Amino acid sequence: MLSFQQRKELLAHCTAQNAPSSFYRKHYRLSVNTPDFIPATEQEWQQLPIVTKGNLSASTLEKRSFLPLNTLDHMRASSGTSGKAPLFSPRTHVRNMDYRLAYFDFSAPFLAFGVPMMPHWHEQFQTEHGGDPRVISYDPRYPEMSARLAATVGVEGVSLFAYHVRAAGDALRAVGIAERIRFLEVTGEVCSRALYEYMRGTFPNATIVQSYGASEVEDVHIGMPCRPMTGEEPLALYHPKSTHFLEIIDPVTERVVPMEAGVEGDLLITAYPGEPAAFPLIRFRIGDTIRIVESDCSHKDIAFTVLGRTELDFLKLEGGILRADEVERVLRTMPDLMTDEFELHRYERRTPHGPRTYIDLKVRVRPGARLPEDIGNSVATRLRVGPAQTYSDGVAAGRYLPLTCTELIDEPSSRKRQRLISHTD
Amino acid sequence: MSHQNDVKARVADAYERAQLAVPEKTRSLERYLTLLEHAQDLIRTTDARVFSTSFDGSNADMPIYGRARNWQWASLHHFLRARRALGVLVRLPLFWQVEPLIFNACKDAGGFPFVNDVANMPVGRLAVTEANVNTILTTVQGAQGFSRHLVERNTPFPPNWFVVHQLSDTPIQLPYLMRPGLIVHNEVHLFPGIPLFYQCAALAESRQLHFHVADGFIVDSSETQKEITVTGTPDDVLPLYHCKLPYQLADVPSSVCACKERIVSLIW
Repeated sequence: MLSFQQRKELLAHCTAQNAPSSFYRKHYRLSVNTPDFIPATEQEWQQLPIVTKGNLSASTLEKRSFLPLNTLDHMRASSGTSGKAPLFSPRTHVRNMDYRLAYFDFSAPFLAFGVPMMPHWHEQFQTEHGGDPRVISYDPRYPEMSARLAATVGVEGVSLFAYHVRAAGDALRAVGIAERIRFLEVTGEVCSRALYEYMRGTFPNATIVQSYGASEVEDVHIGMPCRPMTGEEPLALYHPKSTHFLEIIDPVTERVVPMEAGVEGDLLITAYPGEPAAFPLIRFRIGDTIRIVESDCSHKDIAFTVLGRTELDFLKLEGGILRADEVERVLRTMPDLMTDEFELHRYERRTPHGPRTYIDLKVRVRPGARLPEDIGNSVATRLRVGPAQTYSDGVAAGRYLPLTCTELIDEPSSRKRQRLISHTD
Repeated sequence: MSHQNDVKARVADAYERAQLAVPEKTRSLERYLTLLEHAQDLIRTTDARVFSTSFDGSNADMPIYGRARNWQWASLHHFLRARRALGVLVRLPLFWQVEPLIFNACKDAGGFPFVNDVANMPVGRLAVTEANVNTILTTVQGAQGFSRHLVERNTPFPPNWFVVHQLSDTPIQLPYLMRPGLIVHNEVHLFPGIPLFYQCAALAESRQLHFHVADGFIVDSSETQKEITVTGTPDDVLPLYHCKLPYQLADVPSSVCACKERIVSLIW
């Protein structure tokens, strides 16, 4: 990870009076005459104000970028599907992806979704490492077309979002190339055991790894795979990049907690890939909860696993998004039966056709009311997972299992209730 | 004429590499696609970019088209450079496989691409207002939907629009793009990502659906004038050769384009 000296240099760069962007000077409330800000100790570093997505969104791309916009490589946005405004993040060039070479030689074409790496990044990376430059963009709307293109060029490596894997896997199997896949990298969501088992069965000859990233971070990933997925728990284990510095804070006190095995907390990331950098991140609160698994992994660093979003207000599903405010909206259409208080549990269930999403919605039933037998169906037909799609449509299309709706029974707990809970077991 | 002969000779070479006989007479697109199906192994072993031959992403049964890796989307390069594109909002389906070509054109022009999920117009709109997007790259149906979305949200229009038509499209009116101050480049693709007719800067400014024939293609009216025949391009793994397409072409009379290219009008 970045040393203290490297972080001091980063702060000097980002808070210089002539820095190309005034974002950090404003964030740290440095006056015009104040020189750059350099902490003398780790304790001073830990006093630096945290950066949130809201802070970033409050400034325009042009004001935030440390580089002239006409030198940017491309721009990325958070999806905006969570109900919050998307954040536009500038990108420079592809760096620090060499870890993949330990798992795949890139001597054959690659199939990849455009996140975390754009197709032109793949072409550059594969060419730089003497590999086959051909890359097929995976189009989640058209898995069969993507598979046809992949089969035509002879793809042997794949990188996908976790919630694209099942449709892509079925399509690649249908065109007869699933067994030729030697490398599969998944990212985007925490991988469930059912999904892992599906991948293992569908791609028997693939080394499977999971990586962990975020659209706000310029040099993806945040978490490099510490080892391939073998079924051993935790399924995915990561270590940080040399160009990043990770901290864990207590979500309530926001105090830094030591990086010791077993510790859980909110992740802060400092990310600086070196120049050119469009936007170095300093103590950015990404919104994920992580747990330290080892304090000295085989890569001579911490090893961690991601537990999920700290304050989850949406869940990405295959073919859609489940939003907490949409669940509330649906519950409010049945005011005689229930309040809008709920707890939604998402599971991946094994089926003969591969893993399928299953939702169990626990709702607060009004005194004297009783949930009808078909309440799950009633909710599912109203619950939108996309602009013109309901959960029921997904059930009819074979993507999801029928939703169940049961009464929310309070269990004593000192913790704030999480409304959207994703289970990986 | 020598240019045409050169194209035909190089197309014949491509058939020889594919170990296929050069067709002696004109043939239909369906017949060409059957030949292309036989050339799929050659496409796999050639360092070529691959493209769908269907504009319908759900139609995965069609053969795949291959074109030389070093080919660049010249009309897009010219448009982005001429229009000083900065943020380029890409609203083309991912299965078109054109992102690296768009990236190259953006870099050539000093711009940067932002790939927007075609179903997520709100994010595209915010990119226009908040992220320095001054250029939209989309299909004709996409232009229709996205321009309406901008109007409904009272969002100022970016000045530059690059609109891709498919050959089988019936021309769609884009009334919102007739506003003053907008430059709309139209071009017609044979397959997704394969331009057959394009517009130079002068034609784009004319606001009419007049085109030039894309470099490397030879397009003629058939003897019956009810079809066009297409040959090219030599950059392709298996080029079209005297392929009949059910469209009519009209040379635009007495017009000499500033760029010296022949101007044609497609009668859809």
